[in-house]
Amino acid sequence: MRTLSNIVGAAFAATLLLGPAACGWKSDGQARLDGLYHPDNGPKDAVADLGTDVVVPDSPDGFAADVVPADEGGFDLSPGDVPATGLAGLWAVRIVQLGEISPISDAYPITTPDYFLARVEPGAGQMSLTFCDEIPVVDTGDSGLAFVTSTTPALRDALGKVPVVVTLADSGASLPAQKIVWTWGLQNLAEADPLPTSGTDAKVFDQDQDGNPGDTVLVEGLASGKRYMVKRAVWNLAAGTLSGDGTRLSGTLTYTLDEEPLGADPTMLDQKTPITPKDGSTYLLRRVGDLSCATLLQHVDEVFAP
Amino acid sequence: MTTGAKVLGAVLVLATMAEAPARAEGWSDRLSISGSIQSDIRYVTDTFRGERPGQGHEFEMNRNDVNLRLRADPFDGVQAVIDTRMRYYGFNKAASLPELIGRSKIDPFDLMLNEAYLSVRGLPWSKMDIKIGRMIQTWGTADMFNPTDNLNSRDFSDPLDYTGKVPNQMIELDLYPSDWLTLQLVWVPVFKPANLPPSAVQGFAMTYNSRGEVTDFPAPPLNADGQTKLMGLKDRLGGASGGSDNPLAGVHFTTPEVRTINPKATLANSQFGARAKFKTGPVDFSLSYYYGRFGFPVAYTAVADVLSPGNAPAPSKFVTAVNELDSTKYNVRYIAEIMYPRMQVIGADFAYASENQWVPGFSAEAALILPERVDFGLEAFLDGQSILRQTNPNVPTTPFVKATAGLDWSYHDWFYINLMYVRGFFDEFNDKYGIHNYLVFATEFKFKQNEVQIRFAGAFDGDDKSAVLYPQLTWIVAPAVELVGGYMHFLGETQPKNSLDYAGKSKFGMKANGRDVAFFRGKVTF
Repeated sequence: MRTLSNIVGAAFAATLLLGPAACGWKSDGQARLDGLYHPDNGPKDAVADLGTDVVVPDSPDGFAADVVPADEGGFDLSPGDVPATGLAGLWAVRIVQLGEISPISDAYPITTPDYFLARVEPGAGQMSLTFCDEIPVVDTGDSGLAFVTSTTPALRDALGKVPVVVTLADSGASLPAQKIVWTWGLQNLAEADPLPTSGTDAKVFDQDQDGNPGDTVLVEGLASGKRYMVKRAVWNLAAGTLSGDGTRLSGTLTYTLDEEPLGADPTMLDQKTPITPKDGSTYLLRRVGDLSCATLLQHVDEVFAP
Repeated sequence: MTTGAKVLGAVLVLATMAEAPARAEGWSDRLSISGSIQSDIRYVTDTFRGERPGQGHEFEMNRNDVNLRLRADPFDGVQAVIDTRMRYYGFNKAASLPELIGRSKIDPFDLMLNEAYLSVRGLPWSKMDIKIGRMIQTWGTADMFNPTDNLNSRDFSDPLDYTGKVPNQMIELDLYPSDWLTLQLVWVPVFKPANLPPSAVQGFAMTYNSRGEVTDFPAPPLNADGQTKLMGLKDRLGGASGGSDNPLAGVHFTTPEVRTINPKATLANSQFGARAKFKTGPVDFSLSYYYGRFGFPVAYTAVADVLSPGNAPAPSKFVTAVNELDSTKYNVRYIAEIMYPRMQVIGADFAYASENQWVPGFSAEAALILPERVDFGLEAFLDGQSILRQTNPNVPTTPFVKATAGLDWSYHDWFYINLMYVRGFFDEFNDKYGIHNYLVFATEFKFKQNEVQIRFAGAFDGDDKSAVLYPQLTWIVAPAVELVGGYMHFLGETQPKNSLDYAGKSKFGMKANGRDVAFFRGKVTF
């Protein structure tokens, strides 16, 4: 009898200890509304509702069809009359960073493309890149093992409000080699400063205004949820090469990437997973006629086809 | 013959066929049928708890139930149970000429399979039983209010019955390592939510005046900041009232709806429970653990799409119902979503029964609930532009306790009393409404060798001072035949003083509880 009591007691003691630790659950109503009613934001917000299905009753105006993000904005890849010199016009921009990441024990290749739109006025000395999205892909070699990180609508909006400035040379006719520092959730940070490790650090600000420090990214994988983090990417762009028809501007880059987690929900996602850069990172700008972020993201393969 | 009747008939025929050869082979002792027939008629006695003022003084229910339970013990240690209920609702639902041709609309009914399971005792170990099938579990030692009892969601389809549960498919293992200890493990693969009473829709319904105009909309679970923002929107809509005494007279609400978000049928969303029951002398106690979801929904999102008078619906096409617009008013479509939050429940309960007739029996039950955090999201659009966004926690991550403690005592055969303190009603989950504290009571006087029974029961909410009273008079006409007359009456405000205060709703006063009804019921069991 004593043995059984001990077993039962141990089982319930374990339950009491493990129970609270297992509760990292959260359902975010605002994220769900963003996914449903802000078409530009795309359906990725469903990550906020992991494990649930919505039961939509018959609706006279076809609600289910309408929640699919609309293809707002034009989609015209023809740039029209390309000026003989200069980079004036609208550009779709992709900066691809190759690296290696170890989310658990093994190292996996990671490809991190950042997508932007940029409009260059004739003769301008710079182009301002407006952020559209970052869509990293971790190649685990196992379809059952995935590590997916994605941005929230609020983060995309917030990053989109802070253009990344690229200097042009030759009266706006070429893209010279240059270094660009791009930060997420950081302010007043010198390039050499270490990243802050606390959400209360004055250098950290709630850029996406979601009430959490830094920026919030959504994570799906062995554990799913949200990670609050800051990030600094330093791109060393080689000079760009303009194609003969003036529609593509391409080059290579090296980069460094520092990320610091400042919290997570569930807390097990509050882990630092450094990315080690690998050779082969590139950037490509495609001159287009009319494009929005939404259409760019829906047609990335077509837009950046060789 | 209707489909339901055929099914019920088949059950009866199978039972009869099984019994016929069984007699010859000595199986008659291995089959048993029991059941009941119950007729229930109810009349609404109020005129202010309905959707609109003046509704009431009408029959609410005219129901006939046939319950049948078949139990078979074909072999030693093997048992099969089928428990069915056929219910005829007694109200004509035919609304067109073609519907008058068939019986299903004129005489609507449904057939329920309450339980259907197989039980194998003593396998694979002599001190182990296995049950598989559709079952109803009852955990906890308290009377009705069992916060540790979560494997089956509640069935509140009958507002007068607080004991019903929604059956579900499950696998149960029972282990009996000693005569004082029982271990129980239950796995429920697919979650099923609670069955709500018809009046539940009032919890999310608009408030109307006698002219049919909306006078208020349901309060979302907002914090003070959100309430201020929503008040601002309400004031803005009130600008079109044209001097009416109703500030929302210039607002036309189109097709408000509440959608449920159901868990996917995945392994991670299945439910699991473990319980250890101990029996030591006059005290029974148990410890339990549950992993799953809360059976009652909590508010998750709400979106209102507002269209200015005369505006075309194009800008925000995904919400506004195009075909219901009133071009002279603000048109508003309101869609809310509710969901079933995940939870873990760590429970303990005990019951004490004394052999001394002067000492009352005691029971207590407590559940520590570790909930999923639910952040409520609200958004309003005006002519396609987002004008209000608000999010705040509805259910915090903080663990909370629901508990019941009570005593019962009877004096000979003619007096019985049960008093209970209840923390947390069935549907409370520490959302913005909070957890309330209740006094629940029931007392019975029995006369003429129990032929006549007077029962007075009720519940009082100590937080908002609302109550429900439930007197009954029962006459046992014959040993298995009873006639019961009674009344259920709710006390409390139907609307909170601050209509935007989610927590200000009166527990028993709000319309979602149902109507004040007088009832008469006849039942025979066999």
